[in-house]
Amino acid sequence: MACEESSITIPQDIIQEILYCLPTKSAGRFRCVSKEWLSLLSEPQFIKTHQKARNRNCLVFWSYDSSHYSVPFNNCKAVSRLAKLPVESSVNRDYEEFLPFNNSKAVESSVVNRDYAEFLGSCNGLVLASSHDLRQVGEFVVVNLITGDYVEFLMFRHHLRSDTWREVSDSPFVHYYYGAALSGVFVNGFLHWIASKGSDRIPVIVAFSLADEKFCEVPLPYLYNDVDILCYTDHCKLVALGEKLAIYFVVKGEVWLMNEYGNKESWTKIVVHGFKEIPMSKPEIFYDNRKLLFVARNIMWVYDLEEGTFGETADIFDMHLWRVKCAYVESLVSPKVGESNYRSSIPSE
Amino acid sequence: MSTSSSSSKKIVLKSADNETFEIDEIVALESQAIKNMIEDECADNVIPLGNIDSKTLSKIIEYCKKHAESPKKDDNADIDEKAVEDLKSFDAEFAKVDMPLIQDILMAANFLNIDNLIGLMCRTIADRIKGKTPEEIRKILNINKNDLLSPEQEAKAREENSWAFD
Repeated sequence: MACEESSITIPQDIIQEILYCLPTKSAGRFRCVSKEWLSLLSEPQFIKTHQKARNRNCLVFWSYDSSHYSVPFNNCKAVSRLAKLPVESSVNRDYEEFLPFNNSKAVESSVVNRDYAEFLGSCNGLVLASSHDLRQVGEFVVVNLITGDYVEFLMFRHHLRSDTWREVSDSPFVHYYYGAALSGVFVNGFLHWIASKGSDRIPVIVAFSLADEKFCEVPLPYLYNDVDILCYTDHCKLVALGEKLAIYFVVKGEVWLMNEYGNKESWTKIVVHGFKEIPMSKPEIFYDNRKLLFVARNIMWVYDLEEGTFGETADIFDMHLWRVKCAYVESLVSPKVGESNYRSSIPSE
Repeated sequence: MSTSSSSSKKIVLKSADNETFEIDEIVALESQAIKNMIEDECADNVIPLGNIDSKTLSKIIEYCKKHAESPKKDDNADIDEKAVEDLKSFDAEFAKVDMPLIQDILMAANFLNIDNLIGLMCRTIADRIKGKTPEEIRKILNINKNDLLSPEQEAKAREENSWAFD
């Protein structure tokens, strides 16, 4: 259209409405347009509203070519390659201060061997990531996968020394899981795990407040006989679905969703009809716009919560994507805001 | 319903260039501003719109007619999907106009307080400017020269947002 280039003049309050509609990348680039745009596009309130208005959720896949790829939930064709994560590229990083016993040999090896990134959770456009090696020394990064902006911090080092959850001094609960279950589920400012309490080892959901670094318990739904299943990571796990905490029964295909955080009565059970038809075992679960997404390898099954049925199957095979690692929502948000809130000191054991 | 019947109440809008448009009241009610005027009974038979020309006004009326005739979402939860699709393709066709007219429609929709139409025009402009360079944006949106970043500030902003430039 020839008229495309003609100039128009729009008042500032409407300009703001237009900017809410922009893709995240364009919004970032347009920070260079003018002083006014730079300050508007950097405001936390703008960033929040923009993220909500765009509501673009993406899956992160690990590919055979050793890169991560981002795939929007609602458009499997729009695959884009993500930049290397800070935990993957070990160049120019000073590990020494983080390492136990100042072991410079360990420094060498973690610098030389590029470690695979692990995604431990995602919230409000930011992703919590680490790697096997870094987690050993309790180092994590909070990264915005779109802007690549990140902060590093240390956490739980005394728990992580042996890579196993033990009874810890300030937690009244027993954390007894390994590997993937080690990562907490981040909802409402708390990290959550399934743990147990008391001599008869009753399963509980434990919440750890990032704000005041205290443990507390989240009420369980009325699970009756299913309560014991909580102890088996093969059968059930905690997940965050649309910023709500949920228990996902991986084998049965049932989901318990806590609609109102901390309210026992608000847990609701969702039976996923047709779950058994999914030809892959234990698919990962995600949430987008009143739909549950089940992903195994690189195939996605979309379950409509209102209809109670599976709709389309989205095949994202063409990019040699191998395995889904996490989900996140596109945002301009910087992890550097409120950075000090995340930092915890190295325990002086 | 909303289709013109002699019994339904009519409203007359008068554009800046003195052209008059007679429309069903239900069409006029798509505009929150006109709705308020009618409710407050301060609308005469003829509503003068001194800042909207006839070309823009006829587009606005075309939009309001279509939207007034379509079943509203909150009327019925089981709204038929075809109607939604139909409205969507109408909106897409409607927005295929040049930028100056988009500006005029947007300003008029803002004045008349027609939320859906403001949203449609904002999305249309966003669609057309996305992917452009900051230089192109400055030209298209007539950014005030006094508001430009200094070369140092711009270099810094570019560096901090280098992720958005590849």
